[in-house]
Amino acid sequence: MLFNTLQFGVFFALVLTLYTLLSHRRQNVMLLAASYFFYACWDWRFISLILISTAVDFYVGASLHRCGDARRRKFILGWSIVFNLGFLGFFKYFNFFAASLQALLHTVGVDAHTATLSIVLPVGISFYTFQSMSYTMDIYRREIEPTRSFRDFALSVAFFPHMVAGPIQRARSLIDQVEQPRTITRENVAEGCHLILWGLFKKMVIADNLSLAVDHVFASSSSYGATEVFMGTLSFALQIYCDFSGYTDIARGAARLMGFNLMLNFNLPYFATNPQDFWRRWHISLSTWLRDYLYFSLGGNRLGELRTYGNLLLTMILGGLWHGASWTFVIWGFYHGSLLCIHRLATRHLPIPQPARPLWQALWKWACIGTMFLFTLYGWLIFRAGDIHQLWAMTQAFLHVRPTPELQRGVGKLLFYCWPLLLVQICQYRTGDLLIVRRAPIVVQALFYLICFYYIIIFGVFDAQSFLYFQF
Amino acid sequence: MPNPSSTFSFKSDNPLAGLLLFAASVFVIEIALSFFPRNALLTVLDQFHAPEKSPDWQIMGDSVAAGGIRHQKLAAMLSPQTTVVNAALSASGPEFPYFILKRELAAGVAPRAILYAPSPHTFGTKRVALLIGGFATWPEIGEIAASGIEPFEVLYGIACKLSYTLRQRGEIADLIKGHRPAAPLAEAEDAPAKEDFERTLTRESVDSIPRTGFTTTAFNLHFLHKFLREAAAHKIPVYWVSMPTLTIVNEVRTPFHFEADYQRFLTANQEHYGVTLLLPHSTALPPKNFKDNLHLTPATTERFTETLGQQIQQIRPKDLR
Repeated sequence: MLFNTLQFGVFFALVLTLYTLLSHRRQNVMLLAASYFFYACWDWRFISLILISTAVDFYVGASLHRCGDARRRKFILGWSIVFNLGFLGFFKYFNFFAASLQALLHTVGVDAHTATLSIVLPVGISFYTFQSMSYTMDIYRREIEPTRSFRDFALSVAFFPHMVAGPIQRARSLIDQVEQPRTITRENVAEGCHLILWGLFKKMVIADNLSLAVDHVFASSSSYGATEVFMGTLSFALQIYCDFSGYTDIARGAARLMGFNLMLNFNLPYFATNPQDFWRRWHISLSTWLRDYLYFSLGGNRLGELRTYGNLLLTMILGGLWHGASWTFVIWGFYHGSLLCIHRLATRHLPIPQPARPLWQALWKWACIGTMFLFTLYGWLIFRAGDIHQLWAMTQAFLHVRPTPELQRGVGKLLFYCWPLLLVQICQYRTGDLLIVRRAPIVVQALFYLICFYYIIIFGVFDAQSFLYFQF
Repeated sequence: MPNPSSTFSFKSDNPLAGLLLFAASVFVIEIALSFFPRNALLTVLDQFHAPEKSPDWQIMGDSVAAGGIRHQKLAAMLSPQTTVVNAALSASGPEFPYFILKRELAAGVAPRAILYAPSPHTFGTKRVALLIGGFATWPEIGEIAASGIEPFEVLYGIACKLSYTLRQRGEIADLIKGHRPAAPLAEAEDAPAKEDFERTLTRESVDSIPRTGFTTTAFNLHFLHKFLREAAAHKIPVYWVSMPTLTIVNEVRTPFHFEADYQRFLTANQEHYGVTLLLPHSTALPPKNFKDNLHLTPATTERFTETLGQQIQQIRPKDLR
């Protein structure tokens, strides 16, 4: 059941109606049942996976809280991590590692036949596993206390707006909201509707329309020159952003209508001025998860300069691998890790110009944004390439610059679908206010909603294309 | 601070004010747009009017039958008194004839016999939203909804019925993008064959032919059976006709046992609803007989109508209602 379908609309309308009629405790029971139903619509067989993962982490959390012995606590946490990552590893990475091992052995002259299994990837496993793991790790660090209610914990893991593609909430933030009675205010309704409409616009109008052009370029990349590859990558950059941030907006909007507050996952990422800034703005819930639970656990920047760079690279490589079992994701992670390292090196050892005059300051800032955007674009080329050969071929294509009407047509098409996004984001960036539209005069608000609504009705792709991040 | 010189302020303390104004604007826009003309596809559906008096023969089906059978020629072949009407609707499918027949029965102008010539591929494709948004009346929509099949498609169809923009989204999009609007289907059917169709039957258009066996949807089947039951209940004989198909289409479908499955489907309808299989087997013809992958050229239409007329001449008048 995708967010951009009528099925979800009817499901959500029913849930919301029931929600407003029930008491707090019953709301939670109903939401838990609705969340499992929502998941069962994808594949009912994997409900057991969520239940097992939830039960294990709930009891591990309780044990960690009770236990005073440091070694024993470490053992319990280790067991929980192995269990969670074991699940994730089996379903997501088994075939990848088996095939990679086979290829590696083949290069040294050993023809081994490793077993590959026909494994279906349970949707959302990477998201709810990380969500659930954050609970036990926070308890281990004594940052939070475990919840006493299994039902509340289960709801925080399976809460349907965020279960299949995030945002990966911090355990305590969502458990607190589950435990406390929630109120539906006019502000919540207005913001919820705003986010849902904006999310649907980004998904159905921009992402799904651009996906055709992107698929076309990446399917026959060998015959293309620099212009087509650039336009294809630029379209993919907008597609993946609008697809994922659109999903997040709908998830946050749906939660908001019920009085929940899910964390911000995207904060104008293409306005980032450097790699560090980009990761503070892109998929914030994952990047902060990786920072807090992986990078800091590896020692962060406390173990010397060299180790810091190593930690950065390893964190980003694993972050890349989190997206899927493919070497292109590993390379993408390494690429972003390298950008972070280079940026760190540069800021620490090179003099960064600090223009004094406002005009030069603005020019410098936009130059940084433009440069970072180009680096990000190349990252998306790595991310989207089907394999290393395609990545190499498309990288080489950048050298074959030839005049083509494709650029003008491509830019025209991008602007046709993206101008509302561009306009809103420039206003958001200039004012530093992501809710600038909500604070505009009501005529401007209504005009904005009308544009989004009629763009969806007239140009939206209605055959419910899946969200890109469901495959991760 | 409010502007003292202004009698009206767009500032509001109600956080929902913007959304409410938006909802009201949508309502007003849709009401205003409902006075605009309908698009080519819906206009074709509008062209269905129940005949003034009961015809002897009524052709039913989709665009292939609408353009591929000449009802005047058929009438001339049968007898001077015989009336033949072509009630086949372009863009329609097997879910439409039930509603057409019901309207005719209600108006007391039901035909004495039906020549039903559907395109087999239409049994496996969905047109629920088109049926509801562009053709069905509100009581008919109630009947469709009560069937309980495809509830979300029905819901979408109702939204199309209510919203002009949703109904005409394709055409509005073309207009805004500056694309040439598609020719009305009725005109397209009368257009002469593209001389180069034979040459333009490229790999791409061959690839576009679905590689599947004969399929049906529950919705289409439900209303087809209702149509056949309704006809049987009123003793209106239904003669099933298979329209000619492109040779390449047949070849592509053969590995998927399309024709064999379709013949089984016809036999089942013959057994359960007393349908007569007048031309059960589709004749495979080369590209020169077609305007595109489906529709016959005027010359082939003439020849096919003649073949069909010869078959109908064998039917005794007492077999009609």
